[in-house]
Amino acid sequence: MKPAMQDDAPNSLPDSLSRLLDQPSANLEDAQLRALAAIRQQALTRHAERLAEPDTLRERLSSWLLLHALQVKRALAAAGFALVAGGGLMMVEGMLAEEEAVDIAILSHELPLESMLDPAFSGAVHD
Amino acid sequence: MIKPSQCLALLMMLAALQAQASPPPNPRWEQLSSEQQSVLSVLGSDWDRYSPDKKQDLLNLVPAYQKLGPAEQINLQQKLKAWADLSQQQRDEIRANWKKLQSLPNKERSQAIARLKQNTDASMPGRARSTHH
Repeated sequence: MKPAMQDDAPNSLPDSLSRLLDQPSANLEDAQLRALAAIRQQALTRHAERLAEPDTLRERLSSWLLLHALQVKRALAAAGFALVAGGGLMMVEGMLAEEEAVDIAILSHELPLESMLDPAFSGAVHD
Repeated sequence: MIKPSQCLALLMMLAALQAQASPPPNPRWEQLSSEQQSVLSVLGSDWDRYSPDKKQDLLNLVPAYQKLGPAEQINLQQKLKAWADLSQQQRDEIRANWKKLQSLPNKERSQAIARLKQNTDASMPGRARSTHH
């Protein structure tokens, strides 16, 4: 028996299927029961055959991903963190090395330090 | 799969190795190597009152010092005390101005350096090559 709510809803199923579904199971005709049993048997046979077949690579990969979803997420998060942290460290090290090189260049140059401070510097450079 | 306890042990080992390999972050003068003391000798009397960051900045100069020519080493030695006495802001200002200077085309840079030397000589006749603050 269909729920009352569905009586008011528009029916998008084909008429033949609707008629079949609207039949109470106890009232199915013998021919319909035999047809359903045959279809069920075919489906079970096909399912058994399919289970016996070796999995394709894609199926194995999908199964593995489903089984190891949490580990995959953790690995991706760890790889992302490592990438960001590594990139950040490299950038900081590069900046520090650059600063050291600049300091050495300033100190070993003949120009006195006071000439590099404003306003002396700006005046001389923009003349 | 690594267990949390194994991960913790690994982290502790890495931390121990790091602590063993790294120099102290705030070394006293006596803790410096003889090479570091030699290069930074003009700072010996003031070293222990410097901040850890300043100490690290100064220690970072030591490896590169050995690669400098004699004249450049003298320049560095003469400026080192004044450099260490500058504030962080002044050092940053000098670094920024140095980068500006280096970004100029060769001819303009040479002219600017000549003007800077001339101005400094005019304002401080007979100066030593150091900044006093």
